[in-house]
Amino acid sequence: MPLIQVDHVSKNYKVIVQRPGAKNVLKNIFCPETKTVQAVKNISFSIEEGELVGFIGENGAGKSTTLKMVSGILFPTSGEITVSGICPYLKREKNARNIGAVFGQRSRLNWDLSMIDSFELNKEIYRIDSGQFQKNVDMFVEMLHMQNFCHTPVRQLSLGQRMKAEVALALLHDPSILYLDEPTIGLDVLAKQQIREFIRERNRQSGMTTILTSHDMKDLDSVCKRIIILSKGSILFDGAIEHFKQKYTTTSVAEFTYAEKNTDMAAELPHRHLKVIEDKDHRLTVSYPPSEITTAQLVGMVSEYYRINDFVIKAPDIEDMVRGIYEREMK
Amino acid sequence: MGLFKKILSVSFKEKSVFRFDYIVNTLYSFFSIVLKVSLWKGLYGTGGGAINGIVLNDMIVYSILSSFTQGITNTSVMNDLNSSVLDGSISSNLLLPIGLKKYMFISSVTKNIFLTVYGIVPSVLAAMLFFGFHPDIRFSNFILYLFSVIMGILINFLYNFLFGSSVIWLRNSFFLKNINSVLLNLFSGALVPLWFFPQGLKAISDFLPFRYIVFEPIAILLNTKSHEETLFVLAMQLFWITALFCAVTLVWHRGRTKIMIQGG
Repeated sequence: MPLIQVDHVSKNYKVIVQRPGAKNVLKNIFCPETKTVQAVKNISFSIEEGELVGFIGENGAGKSTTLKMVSGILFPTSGEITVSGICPYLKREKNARNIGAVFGQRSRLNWDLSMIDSFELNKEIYRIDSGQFQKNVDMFVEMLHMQNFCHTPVRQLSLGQRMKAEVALALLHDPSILYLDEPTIGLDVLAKQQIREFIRERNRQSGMTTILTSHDMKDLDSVCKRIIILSKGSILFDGAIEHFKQKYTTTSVAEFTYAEKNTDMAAELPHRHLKVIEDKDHRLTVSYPPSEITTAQLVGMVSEYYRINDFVIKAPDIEDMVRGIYEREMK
Repeated sequence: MGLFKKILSVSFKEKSVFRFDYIVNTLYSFFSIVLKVSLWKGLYGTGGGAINGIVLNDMIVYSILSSFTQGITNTSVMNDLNSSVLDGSISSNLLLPIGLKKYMFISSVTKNIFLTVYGIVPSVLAAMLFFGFHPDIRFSNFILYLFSVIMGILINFLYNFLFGSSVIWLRNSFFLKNINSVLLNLFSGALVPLWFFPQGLKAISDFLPFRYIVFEPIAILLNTKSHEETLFVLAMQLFWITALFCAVTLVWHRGRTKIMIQGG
């Protein structure tokens, strides 16, 4: 039996529509007009113990809603969820012992106190054994480089420092599952890297299962082995990240700077898969399918038309692929 | 108990950050007692007679005791619930392995212990020195008062939690907060003791929980009740706690499925 099992789950929201205009004020109070929004539409997936799974999707795709249902905060409108053999929203308190969660901008630290104070409060709430608590605090402070701001009031911490403290707080009770909603949003490169490394390390050490949502494709690329792409509440893709790349990598982009042009390449394309995107100011941008044309072939072809000074190949990132999928969906 | 102590120490640490807050709190609470006492002095005039068998000294005693009792039974849970549902921060509470009601109760009580120690006790002591405080209190009544006040705390908390929960459906309940504060101030006896209520209002107050929050505990403390009446008050308090508790449980059974977390 998988650790997390999501079966045909949908979630509808009722949103109150405020009618404009002064004469509608009373009407809005006493008989509000509501509109049903389908945030998640009949999705199913399962996650095994120890997996690192990434959720991708545009804003409002249903990633956070799914995460909130799986973590037991929200009830699904229909369908069933099982996490470690129990229903997370019906047995919320029992499930909460077993999971750690960081929901983006929603802080769980007490801003007037230091992070250590918040840690100690959680020690009581989760009834963490003193020895285990001290061991975890020491380990996390070292792994996330938090020595300098342990005793500073959270209000005075930078976003990066605070996020590290949030992640550490969520893991103090050694949960077997970690849910992260946008854990690296707005952080600098170093902080992002430290948080990613920390999550990978915890997965290696204790086999902690992790689901994270992110807009930063590097997060997913460096942490996750599997991705689930959501769009408008439905799953578009669910599988290994490598598989995703193979399936959706269709084109790469290369940028050449050249000193001289012999003939215009755009006029007589040397390969049917090669496309010229732009050619001006001694700068040539082409797109090509890496499956059909190797880098050596490409350089060979281009050098027949241009005297090349330099070139850069932009590997396709997941972001471009996802955009491609969305655009296809839109059509 | 460990959790209670920890939250208590956290809330003291937290509040001590805002030192100016409790100076203002103390002054506010002191001046509201001054206002009440002055009002009664004015109403009684200089004659020194009794109204409904109650003399001015009784009213000074009542004013001071009601400020104290209202202070320790007070709760901000309706506000807290309202804002945390509206801004979505309730999700943080729902991630904890502890019941929401229980957690909010502990938070509310610890917050009040702080406000009592730093705001209400000093202002009540100041008022006692300023106006003189000559009550006729027996030890046994004091013990009964403590019992009764603890139940008053529970009644006020559960009532506020119940009506605060309406935010899940209404998405907005600031008007309830205003209605509530009017009802509480009027019917709890925080401003005017129920001794002076006209028959109609008194009859209404019999069917509401508010009088059991402030007025009745003080009435017990001041030894104005017979044994039977005292027992009846305690039984009614127990009844309201049970009724409100059941209502809260029922409402949350429905409400939990309806909660929306807005703002990501």
